[in-house]
Amino acid sequence: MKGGYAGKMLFVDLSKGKIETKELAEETAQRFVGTYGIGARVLYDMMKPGVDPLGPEAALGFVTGPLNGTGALFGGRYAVVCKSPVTGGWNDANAGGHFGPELKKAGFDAVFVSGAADRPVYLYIEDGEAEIRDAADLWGKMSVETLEALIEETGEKNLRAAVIGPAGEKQSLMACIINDRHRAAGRGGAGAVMGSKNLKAVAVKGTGEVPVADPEKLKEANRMATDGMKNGSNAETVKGYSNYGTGMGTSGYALSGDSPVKNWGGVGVLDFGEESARKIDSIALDKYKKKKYACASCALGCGAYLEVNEGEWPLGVTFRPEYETAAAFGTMCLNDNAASIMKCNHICNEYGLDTISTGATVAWATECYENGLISKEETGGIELTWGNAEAIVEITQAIAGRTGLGEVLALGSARAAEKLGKGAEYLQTVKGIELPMHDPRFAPGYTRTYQFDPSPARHVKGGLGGLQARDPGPAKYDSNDTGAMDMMMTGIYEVLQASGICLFSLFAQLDLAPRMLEAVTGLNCDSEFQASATKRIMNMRHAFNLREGQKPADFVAPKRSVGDPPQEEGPLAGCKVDHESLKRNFFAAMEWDEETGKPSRESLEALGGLDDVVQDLYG
Amino acid sequence: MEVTVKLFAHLRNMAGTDQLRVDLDQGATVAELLDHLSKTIDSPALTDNSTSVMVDHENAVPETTLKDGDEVLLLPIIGGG
Repeated sequence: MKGGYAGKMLFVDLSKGKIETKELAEETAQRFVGTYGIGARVLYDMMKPGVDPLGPEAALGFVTGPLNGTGALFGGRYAVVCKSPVTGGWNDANAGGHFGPELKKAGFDAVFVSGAADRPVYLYIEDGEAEIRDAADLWGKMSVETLEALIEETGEKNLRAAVIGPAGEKQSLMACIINDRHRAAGRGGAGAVMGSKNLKAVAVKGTGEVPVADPEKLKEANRMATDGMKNGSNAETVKGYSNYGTGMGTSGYALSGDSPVKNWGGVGVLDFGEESARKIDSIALDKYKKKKYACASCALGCGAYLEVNEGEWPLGVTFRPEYETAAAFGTMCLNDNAASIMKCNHICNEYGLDTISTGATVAWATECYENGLISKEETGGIELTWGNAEAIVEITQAIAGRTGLGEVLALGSARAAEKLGKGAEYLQTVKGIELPMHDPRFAPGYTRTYQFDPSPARHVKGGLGGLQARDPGPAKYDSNDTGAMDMMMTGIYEVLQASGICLFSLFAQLDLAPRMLEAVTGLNCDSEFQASATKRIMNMRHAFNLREGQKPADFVAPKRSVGDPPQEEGPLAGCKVDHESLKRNFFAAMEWDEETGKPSRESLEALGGLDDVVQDLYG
Repeated sequence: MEVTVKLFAHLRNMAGTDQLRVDLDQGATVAELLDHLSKTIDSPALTDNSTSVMVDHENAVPETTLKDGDEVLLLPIIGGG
């Protein structure tokens, strides 16, 4: 391999205490690119169908992309991969920060962990070496405390670590993995998988260099990215995100119909209103900004440290809530108390909880409470009414600590409804996982992505939604003939994320990822390569679900999210999503059977690298 | 006639305010309002069709006719987050 890869993967069996290094085959790297592409290929090999995602037979991967650690701008993202304990199927979640590049510099493209330790442990990796260490003293610590304790123990002040908080230890199905204090591989319950293995942290110190095939070409791509950010059509957005982060759009989204409101049953402009929307916008939080935060190799820097020393919830130094968080604990709960949103965000970061699923679960529980399905006795006296900021904080704390009703809510809304035996009619989930914070009634294409990306209910998986959200015209509701464009917009994201760079690189230039990939790896990353890689990676992840016995009919879009029935008032009045056409067109483009979900044998054989999938599906 | 324009996200930053009162000819459309604003606010969000426009809580299109006293929300859709 000319560049971009360390060429080695670490395999850790915690049951046996065994650590093994294996070569990353050049062919695998070329075919599956990196992050969840390589992750899906390896996990398909490592895991048998039907295993308990929280059992020792399950595997968990931390996988870098070829652009991590190379100096490619935006190249700070890695992926966590596992079988989701929520959906029972494929799960990938990615995070920024510095962990991914550090792992690569330590000499590994990926770490895969199987088995389960008989006591709390952490994995320490330093420049090509790895060891399993005792973590008894770390167990029970919050995510930031854990990193600080690891830094103290190892004496490495620039140590990078992916850790779980108490939520992961207690196997909350909304538990995430946190690196660099506040960057979260959030969705699908990966934190619970890590907790099930008694693995508190993966700590990394790397000082090596990642080879780059054509450094001059990479410099040129970086120059192009910088120029695009400064002078391109998204220059204003870049500047705004750099100053205020993703929450800059919160108020506009809340009123336009882009944000779900009141557990997907409300209308932003009527039920929430302009004054409330502006209160939870990150522009309103700017008075708390202490300093900016940027992930590795990022020239945009959408994060920020805040310092909150006043009001009902003084937090000291905390991190700025992202848009998804502000919507989940804000518009979804009709909550315009920004301090409470910062508090909930803080709790989630500390305990290691996915803010999207947690906020959405609070919204679901609120609707149950308002309709008499959950009583005040069951909440332990918490008056879980719409917009009650104190109650939202209290119930979030209960979820984090798994106390009272929080014990069952920590399983997420779908599992909680099942356990409580009520509230299923208010669930806004696909295959058990809560929808993210962009409304398909506003941009219909989101529905296809939420339903049929192999990691369902994700806002970061491409498709038509992002494009349509910026199109105010009515044409976006015509879902005839969407397949080719849906595939194209999915492919851009698939290749970009497998490369290990951030979605916000799209603000600089649409084809930045393949340009950088070509410079770093020396491969020809033309449109044919991108189309093949997209289909191969998508099929690999999809095959994992098919092997688990999952069928397209198992992935159902919640009725509210597709306008069934349509809203009667507000900007989305009358809007219906033709989710059947969107599905049909995408399945045709992917050559997937609509009933069984099976990709055609011919398409799999043409892609290559999927012989075992062909064997599993067709014998 | 006079309409009230409320600005969000980077439009607000570019304008340096979250609210403007704008005088327009009787019967002016949303497109004419955006054109008028683009002369003083240097932002592609006013001209590249990426901004959701609401007039008195209803979705509007460039051809929507405004009337005196209307409240117009300009909501740039950024994507992401």
